[in-house]
Amino acid sequence: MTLVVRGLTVRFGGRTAVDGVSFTVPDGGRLGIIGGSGSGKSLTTLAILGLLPEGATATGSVLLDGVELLGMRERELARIRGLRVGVVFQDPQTALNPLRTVGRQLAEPLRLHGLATRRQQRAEAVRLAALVRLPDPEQLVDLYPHQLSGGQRQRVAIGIALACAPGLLLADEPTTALDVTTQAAILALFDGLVEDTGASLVFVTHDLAVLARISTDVLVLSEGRAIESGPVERILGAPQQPVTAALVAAARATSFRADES
Amino acid sequence: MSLLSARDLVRDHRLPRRNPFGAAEVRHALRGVSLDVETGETVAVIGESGSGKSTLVRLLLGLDSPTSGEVRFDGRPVTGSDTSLRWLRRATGIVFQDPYASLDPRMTVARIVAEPLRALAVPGDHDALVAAALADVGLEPALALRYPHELSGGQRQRVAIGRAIVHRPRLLIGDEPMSALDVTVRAQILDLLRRLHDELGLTTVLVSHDLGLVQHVADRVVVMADGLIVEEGPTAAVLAAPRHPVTRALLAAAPRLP
Repeated sequence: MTLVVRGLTVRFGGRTAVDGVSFTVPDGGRLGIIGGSGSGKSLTTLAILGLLPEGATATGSVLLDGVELLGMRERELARIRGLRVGVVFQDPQTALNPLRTVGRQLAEPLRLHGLATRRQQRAEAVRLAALVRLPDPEQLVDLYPHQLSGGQRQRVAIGIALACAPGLLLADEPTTALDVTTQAAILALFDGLVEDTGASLVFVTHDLAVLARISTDVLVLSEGRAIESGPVERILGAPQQPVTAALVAAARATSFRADES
Repeated sequence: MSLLSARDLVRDHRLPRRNPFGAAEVRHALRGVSLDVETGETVAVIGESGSGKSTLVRLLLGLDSPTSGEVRFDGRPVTGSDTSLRWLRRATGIVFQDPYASLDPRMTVARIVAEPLRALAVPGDHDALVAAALADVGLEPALALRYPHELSGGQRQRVAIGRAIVHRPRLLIGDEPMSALDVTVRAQILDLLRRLHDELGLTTVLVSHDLGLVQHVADRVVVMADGLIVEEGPTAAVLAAPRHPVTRALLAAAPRLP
């Protein structure tokens, strides 16, 4: 699906947290949004989904395959979330309901959108668990979130996001809470699933190395403004803005380099 | 003699009984770990979640007791109650992962940083020591009267480091000190850790799964898996030619810039 964001502005607590941000993700495109804390990257994703916190207001335009999402009624938006747009957040611990089995949560989007009967739900949950490469899907769907590791919980969250085969996947720091080997496995999973399903991807992160692994284009946010965008190689190789150059320099100073050791 | 020396540390945790008549299952968090840290050295302990890194740190600081084995700090055994370990608390400082959770929101920066001085009844001019610690971590004196919510993430982590070094410890331990920080702040904190090491001659033990941090600050690296040390050596050598499969997997997984 094509996502066109124009002049997105979010006002929150008397200040402008996102200030006229515009970008386009073509069908099947992979955009990484990067910025420090307070740059407005999370509010931008939440605004696209109509999930802004209480007291925040969004203006501008968010077009999903030509359909305006900003100002859409909650009932219609709810039909789009989960069905056409899948979301994965940072912390799989809080994103899952501790009182429901993994299988029930995996199949929930299908149930909510009327795509699976009660009888089909278990089979669908097993299918999704296998899709995100969880071990022993048949048994795993009967477990509760606390019985899984952090990486497995994030796989469940990704399975939920992909349940209805959405055309757009939004991921907000989905690997930040994970350790390095789990992060690599989850990124590989993302990469493969986005490739296979042909979904468009918006991936929010503060880690340039992670961004370079998963997306082809970059949007740099700073203090609520989009200050630079372009292909990953160009941004890393020849940043135009001082803020981008500082981000790249800091990433080079702190990330692991194989050639240096 | 090593500043810090651990011998054959074993730490078992008894799991809840499943069968009231059967023996309780035991999980081995550490299965025989020995480690020496020399004065002035920076040692990184790396490994996946569940490899035993944090258990090791708790034992090194006397925050938990080993099932068997021994820890010595400057030749003195680390055993006994919290009050009898006051000498160890005076000689060590710790920085935790999350500066949001580790600072009391109702205290000013000056009070937070002064806490170890009060708790450990450190003699001397506390105000002067706090001012010196704030200067060491690069915080403006004016920030002393602010509260944590008024600070940025990077400033908060500087406050946490200031609190860890205010009583002039000989050993600084960092448990994932950078993983909650964003990239520009990480670069600053990394510089700060290097500078403190050079200027104060601090011996440092860093627990991390962040190979970037390890590569840029550690002299020596210790790799843990399943409660054992599986590989150790000079950082550059281990990262250039890892021998153990676990080390290789960690290196392969590290995100890197093209």
